[in-house]
Amino acid sequence: MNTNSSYNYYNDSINRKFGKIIHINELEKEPKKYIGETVRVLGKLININLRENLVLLEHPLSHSKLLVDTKHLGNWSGRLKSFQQFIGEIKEYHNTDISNKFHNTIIKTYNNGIILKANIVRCVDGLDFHVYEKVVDIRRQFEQQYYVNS
Amino acid sequence: MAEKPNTNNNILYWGLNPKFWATPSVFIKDIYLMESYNSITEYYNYYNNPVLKVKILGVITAKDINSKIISYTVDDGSERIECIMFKKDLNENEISDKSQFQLFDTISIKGKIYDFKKQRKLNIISIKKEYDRNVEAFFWLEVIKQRKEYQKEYNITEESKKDVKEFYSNKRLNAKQKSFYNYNEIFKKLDNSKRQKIGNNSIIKDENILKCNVMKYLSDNKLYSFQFSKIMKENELRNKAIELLEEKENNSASENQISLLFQKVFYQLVKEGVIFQLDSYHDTYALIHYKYNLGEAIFGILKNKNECVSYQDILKLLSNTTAFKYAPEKVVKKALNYLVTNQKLSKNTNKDGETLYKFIKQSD
Repeated sequence: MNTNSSYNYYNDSINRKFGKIIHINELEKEPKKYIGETVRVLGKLININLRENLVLLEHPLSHSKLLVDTKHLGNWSGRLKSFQQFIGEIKEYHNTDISNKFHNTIIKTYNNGIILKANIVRCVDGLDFHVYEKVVDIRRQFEQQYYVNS
Repeated sequence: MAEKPNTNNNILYWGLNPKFWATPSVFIKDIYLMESYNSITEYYNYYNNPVLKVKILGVITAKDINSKIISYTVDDGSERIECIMFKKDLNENEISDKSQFQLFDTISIKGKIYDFKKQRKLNIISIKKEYDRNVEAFFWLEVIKQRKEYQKEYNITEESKKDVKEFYSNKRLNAKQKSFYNYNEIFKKLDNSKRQKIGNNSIIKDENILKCNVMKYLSDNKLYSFQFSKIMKENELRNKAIELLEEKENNSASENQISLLFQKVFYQLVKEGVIFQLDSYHDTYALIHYKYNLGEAIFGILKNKNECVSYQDILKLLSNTTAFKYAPEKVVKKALNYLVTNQKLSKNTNKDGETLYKFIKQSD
């Protein structure tokens, strides 16, 4: 289900950038590189904190994690273990100890130092994740080759 | 950045390239990289291919509906672009249909590129929601594949360029003279292989000339029946055929070519209902004559029928014969009039105004 509550907010953002397609494991490797950028990420929903509007996304293959702020999504709630896709801005986040935020003792610390401020979200259950990853890589090689000088 | 568009001289040949008529699938970034042509600003240069419409697939990141337009901002991961529909171009049902797309819906749009107040936008021709989650990935692969095709150069032969230029120069000339475009002039300049491709029904000027010569020869010599081989050997006609072939082929005409030309002429004469094959064994032909052969044939047909036969039925019966199936109506009517005048057939009119003919039994 797509969220429409953020329609007016997003509609005003004429100067917003497009959502660059990024994998969660790339965000984990070089988090500072993407601060301030608008990105589109895809991951499995492994934990939700509706009171603090926080969600934890996981990359299904590498198990890298990404914290998402869902304050602007209104009354959104997703099903655990579903695939969700977010578009939003990457911001700095200094609170690395998140064990209190999610009632899950396995997830103790989050060292990335970034958070995704989500603007829109949708459920993408049914998407073939392996194919998607491969195609994104092919597309990036193609863009490197053709858009170098642009 | 995209290459600078080609010069105006190439506009004449745009339509020869099949890619001109296609709608390429592109990334939104490609749309921003295209430059418009100086003389025709509606077209944009996409790897040296002029493009008017494009197809994109992405997610809706913004939506705006006001009294005049419906606008969706689409993002495909490479860039975002505003896609617009004017309400004045849509009826009520369409407006409600097109307004129903929501944020983050995957949609495919076919649209015309245009620039408005230094912003590049798409004027939507068609918009469709995609429900399959994997469609985006497959579309990206399609774009990559199509790009490789669009980068290949399309070679237009010098011959095609010449034909196009000639077509346009004749079109302008005839527009001044207010006459129809003379197709035959171009047709004559084509070589035999191209003429055959264009169609067997087209009458070639050379055959026409020889056909007229053959007819004149038959009429001057008052020939009613004749053999094909003898006509071909007639010096006057043979020399004419050789002259026509040499002019066309730029070399001496062979026996096969002469024979083929005469065959085509005879074939045309049969199809026009001027002659028919009298005897296939000796390859003898005869002129279709209202009195000597056609009249006799009609008399024979009606003799076998004891009832009145309408004019249309007589034509149908004649079309079933091998000799007279191409006989022109004018000659058929003349034959019928001859038979009626000589009291071999009677002529009546029925209630519907249809002319009926009946065989008259001769008293001994």
